[in-house]
Amino acid sequence: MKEYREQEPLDDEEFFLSERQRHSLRAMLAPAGLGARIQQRLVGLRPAMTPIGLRQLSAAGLLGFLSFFGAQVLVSQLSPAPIPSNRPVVSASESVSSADSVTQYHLSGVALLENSNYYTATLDSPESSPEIALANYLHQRGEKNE
Amino acid sequence: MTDDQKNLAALKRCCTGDVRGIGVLFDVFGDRVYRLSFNLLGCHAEADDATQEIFLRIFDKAGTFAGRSQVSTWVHRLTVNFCLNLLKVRKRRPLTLVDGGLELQNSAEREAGADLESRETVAQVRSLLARLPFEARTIFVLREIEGCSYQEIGEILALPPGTVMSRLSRARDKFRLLATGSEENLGVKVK
Repeated sequence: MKEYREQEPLDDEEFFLSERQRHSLRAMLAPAGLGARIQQRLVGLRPAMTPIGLRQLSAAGLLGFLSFFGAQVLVSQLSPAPIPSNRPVVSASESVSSADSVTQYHLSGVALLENSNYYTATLDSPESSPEIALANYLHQRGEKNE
Repeated sequence: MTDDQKNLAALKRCCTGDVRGIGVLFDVFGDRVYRLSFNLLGCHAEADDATQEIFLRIFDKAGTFAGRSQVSTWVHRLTVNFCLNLLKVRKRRPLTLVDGGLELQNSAEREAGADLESRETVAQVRSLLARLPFEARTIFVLREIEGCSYQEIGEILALPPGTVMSRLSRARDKFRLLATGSEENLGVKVK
């Protein structure tokens, strides 16, 4: 049954509820597995926010960097060899004209063909460009056909 | 190494992104955070969600712990602030537990060996707690259930000790009023 006292001052050592009530109220435990779920969330949802995530990000960046330059090297090795200096200079229109009809059809409208002076001037330049590479390819292909 | 030093070491592991650090802290504070969240929010599902979010915050904010208080005080403060913000956002008070007091006890409590009388008492106390305003409920729970000293409560709530004492006194008055004013046979023995 109810058992109340008049209000009296309580010091820091006293409690309002009885020891048994306090003990019962403190008996509550967190659900089983809650800690594991929290750790799973941290591992699964927030890897990029942690220093470990940053390290992983750095590693991925380095891998991407190496892949990019690896691909560059591969492309440069597969591209046609530079034209020897004693090779006769040809114009873009000549190169294209020596290509087959299907290639010519696909090359119609390419800006390079409309500026043959630029092509001729830069043909022997050490600086490569997609346009020069294309013209070289077509020129070599034309020579083979001949 | 003291308990607080161990907790501090676990916090430092969190700072380096070591998830095992939060595992250590959960072993120490998990039950306390869950219990405090439940007593402030009044719902197991919300206490479960809140505990998860609070520990995620502990992990994220580990680097901001200044060491001016004990780790336990800091964790209590995060818990109280999180629950307060949750209630503000939802703009409602915790659930009324009068009808479901016994059901609200989870399996962990039952396994803890609480007998029927104790469970009834727990449910009755919680039904009264749910009717206290948040501020009164917080200070009452920190003192009566968590057993925090006045100084700890002051650090958690950023209040001077004198204010803690006066607010705790008012909270006890309100609790007593609710207990005496109830038509139910609450069976809550208060001093």
